[in-house]
Amino acid sequence: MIDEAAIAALYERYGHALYRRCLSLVANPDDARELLQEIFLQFWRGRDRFEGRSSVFTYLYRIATNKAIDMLRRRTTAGAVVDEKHADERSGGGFGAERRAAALRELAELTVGLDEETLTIAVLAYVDGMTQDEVAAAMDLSRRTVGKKLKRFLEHTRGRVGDGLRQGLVAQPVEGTGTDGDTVP
Amino acid sequence: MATQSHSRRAPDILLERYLAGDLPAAMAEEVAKLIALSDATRARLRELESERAAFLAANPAAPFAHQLATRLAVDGGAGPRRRPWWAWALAPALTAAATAVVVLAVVRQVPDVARPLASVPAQDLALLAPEESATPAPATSSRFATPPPPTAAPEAEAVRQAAAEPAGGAKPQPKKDAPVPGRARSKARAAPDPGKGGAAGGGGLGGLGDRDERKKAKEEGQKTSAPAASKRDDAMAAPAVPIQVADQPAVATPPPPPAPVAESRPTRAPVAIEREIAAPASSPGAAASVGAAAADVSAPPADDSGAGITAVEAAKGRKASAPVRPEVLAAVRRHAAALALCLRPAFAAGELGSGKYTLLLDFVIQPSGAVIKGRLRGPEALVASSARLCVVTAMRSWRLPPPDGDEVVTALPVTVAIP
Repeated sequence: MIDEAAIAALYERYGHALYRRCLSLVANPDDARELLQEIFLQFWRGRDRFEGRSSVFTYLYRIATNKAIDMLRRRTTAGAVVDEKHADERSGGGFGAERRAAALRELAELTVGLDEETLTIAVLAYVDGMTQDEVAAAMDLSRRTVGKKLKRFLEHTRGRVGDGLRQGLVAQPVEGTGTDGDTVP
Repeated sequence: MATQSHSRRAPDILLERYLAGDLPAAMAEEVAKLIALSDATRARLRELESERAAFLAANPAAPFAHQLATRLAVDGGAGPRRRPWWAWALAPALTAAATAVVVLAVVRQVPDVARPLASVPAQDLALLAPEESATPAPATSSRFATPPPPTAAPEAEAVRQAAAEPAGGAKPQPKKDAPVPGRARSKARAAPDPGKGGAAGGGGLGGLGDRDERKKAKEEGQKTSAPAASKRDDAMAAPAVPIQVADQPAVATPPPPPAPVAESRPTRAPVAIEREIAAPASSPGAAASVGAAAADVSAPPADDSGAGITAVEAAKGRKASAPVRPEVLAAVRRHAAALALCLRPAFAAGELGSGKYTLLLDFVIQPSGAVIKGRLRGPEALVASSARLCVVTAMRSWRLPPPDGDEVVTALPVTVAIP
């Protein structure tokens, strides 16, 4: 039996934040609403696998980021439609819309096959411009874990990072790499 | 910690978690402190609060949850399941075996199946004449030439398809004769399990996400295989009330004026068959014609003794200047269960009485397969009820086989019954 009340409660609590997240990435309200449905569908179908190791919010947020980036990948003009209004719905960091769009384009192409958590962390750091501390706090992770994940992201994308992400990477040196961005090719 | 520097306001994600009450206590305390200390953070929090309120006002939770529940019900609640490797290997063999069983069973019970056309009684000949005149193949001799494929309940599906499927290509010829006793018995055997028989009769109760729609429609066109049917069975198990669905008559435009004899008879058999499937032995009113059923929506049949809302089959293959494509019909059939679900709240609220309702749907299929301009044209009782919004919303989520250009579908009847 499908508990509509439970779905409605989840939606009321997290729906807006997830919608904003999707909108900030895909920059299209209709697409964001469609993604919102997909997010809750995935969550509901996989609710038995949710072990409670992360909060519901961060779990949903990862799904949202993954689905939005996946949608960007499917677009032939990935990221090109990002406009100032929606793109600026970033977290506290300081990336402009243009830079953000470029970073999104690259990131969508580079992160195929990357796990959901690493992808989310990479987007928060390199697209939203959050510091590793902020990412750690937002995702209930240690800073060390965030550093490891970003390192994994760099390894995954090594040799393929272009200008869009390069600026973000320089701005967000990864701890543990022993460099301040010089791991970026 | 993200909140160490007050010169940089807290990230939105933290504020959103704070608003949702999702932060661990220690973190929530820090964010609260930051909110107290930072004007920018406080202002942003207020913005987010008002944005959230506006969002929920514009996109309320209840319809969202209902739409999601409908999709989950149609999809069976579980995620898309992959067909096991052995299913791919066994499907053709199982299909062939099941088909052989069905054909043998029906042929044995219908002794006139191989009878020359000349020996068919006059009343049967009258039934052969109508709509599929464009398909000159003699129906009685060719109706089993290409056996119908098995689905969840092979016999019921075979009977239904043989009776209701429009002619064309390699598809089985529609039966145009009235149900013969032997065939009726075979149908009656399929009836006792309404969950299965009905689902199979429906030609698919979903089990279909929108993403899979095109693929599934294609598969439907090529004849459904057993695993897909079992998926539909799972979908049947999801709603609390069993739902039985069968396919629908479909026309892109209203049908032409009926030819006196040939129009009504061929549509009669499928209805009778469906009623036998849906409401087994106690179906005294099974002889009503589709035309009557479609027109007399306010007069529910005296049968349908089963519990729950039942989407009932009407007939297929009516003459029309621009008939709806079979793959579209198949896809709409798969959505019929969701439409039936839409009636439940209105029924529970007393807005609708029990009985059979023939929904007349207008919509436009875009080249992408998306459905726009969905409209519930009738019946009045439904249009005036709260079910209308649900139906229209459900139609918007459909993804149908894409046409070359915009395809306008007018007054597509989908019959749903509330016993």
